[in-house]
Amino acid sequence: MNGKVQPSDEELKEAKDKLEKAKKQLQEAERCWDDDNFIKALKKKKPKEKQKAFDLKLEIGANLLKIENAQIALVVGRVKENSQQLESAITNLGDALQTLTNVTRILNAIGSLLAIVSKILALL
Amino acid sequence: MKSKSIRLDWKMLDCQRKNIGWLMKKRTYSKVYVILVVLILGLSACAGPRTKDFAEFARSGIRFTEQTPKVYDYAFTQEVNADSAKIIGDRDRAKELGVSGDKLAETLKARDALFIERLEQLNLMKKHAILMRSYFTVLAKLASEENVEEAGKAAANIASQMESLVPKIKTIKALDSPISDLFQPITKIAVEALKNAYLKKHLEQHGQTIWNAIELQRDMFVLLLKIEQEQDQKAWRQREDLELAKPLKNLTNNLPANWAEQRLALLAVSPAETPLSAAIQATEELQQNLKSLALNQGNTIDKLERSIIWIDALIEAFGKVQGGTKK
Repeated sequence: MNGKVQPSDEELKEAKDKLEKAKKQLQEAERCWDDDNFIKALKKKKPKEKQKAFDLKLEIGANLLKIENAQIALVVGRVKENSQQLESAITNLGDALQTLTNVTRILNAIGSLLAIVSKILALL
Repeated sequence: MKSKSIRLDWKMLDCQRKNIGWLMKKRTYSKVYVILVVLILGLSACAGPRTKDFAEFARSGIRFTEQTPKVYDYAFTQEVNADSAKIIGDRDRAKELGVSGDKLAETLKARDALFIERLEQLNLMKKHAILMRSYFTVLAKLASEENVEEAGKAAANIASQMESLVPKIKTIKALDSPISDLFQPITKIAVEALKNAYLKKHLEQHGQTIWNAIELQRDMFVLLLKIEQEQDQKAWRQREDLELAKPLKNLTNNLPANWAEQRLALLAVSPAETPLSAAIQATEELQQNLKSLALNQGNTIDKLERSIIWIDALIEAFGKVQGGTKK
């Protein structure tokens, strides 16, 4: 577990909700740019203000990607533990498979042994 | 010394012969014993999920996990293309507003770094799916008929060797057949029962892990579909506007040569059904299969063939849209 304390389901849900809330706010801000009236009003503003608004829009885009990555990370974080459990499940199946293979091997060995005994007796 | 040991072996063989004679006298006991063993093994194998149901579940799992990496590749391509369309749109806005595009180069680098991070995350999901595939492959191997057949053949060999060693064994009968003839079927039943017991115990111990593994893949597909849908509506409108509407209303220039082709490509893919939505459906069917297995309803296990064909068809359809995916 790398010494890290795994977050509880509640903590995960809380983090998920917070990310979703932040994402919605950013999406709302980004949506302004689809509004023709907003663009018209912006065009009338001073060049510095227009530049600031445009740069902010680009930042919103990058921040949305950051939030999406964080949402993906919440799922990926649970994968490590499950992968370890899956490996143990594979080992369990492998052991069972080995036991069955051993049964066949023992049977084959008995067969071979009997064949040898039979040949020795035939020689005698 | 040598001759003595051989003599001793002969004595042993004589003793064995006497024992066989005793066995012949006790045919009735052996008959009852054989019937009982077959009955107990048969009954134990009948209770709970059958081995062939485990095999069917494993095969459906292999089909699903073989397709999973392709779905992640699709999702990543979609997301990068949607972001590229967004950046192109932002560039057009910068021109329209008459502002500097310096920040565009900066944002491109920042977004690329985030996409590299995302690729690593999706690769972890792919690795998880590959691990699931290994699990289903071992499960399929354990549930296959092969190991039962091999054990049966080995038992038949023992029987034939015993017959050549002690020919009288042929006269011992159970269930109206020479006892040596029953070696193979009884061994097969025994190995089958042993295997089935292992599989049932495994399902009890690790069923939850497999359920969680499928659930994790499902959770990721649901999240990626949500991201896709959020970007899609906007990207779809943006592309319709930039590549179709804008050149159409500009009467001074000719339309691009592939204008009609692009229109068809854009309309040919429905945002309602994408490889991600098909993959979600497949995970739900796989979970249902696991449930059917646990509840001993093997006849309801779905082979997942239709879902897998559907995922493939959708990946192909989306791939035909310009640039590999919808822009």
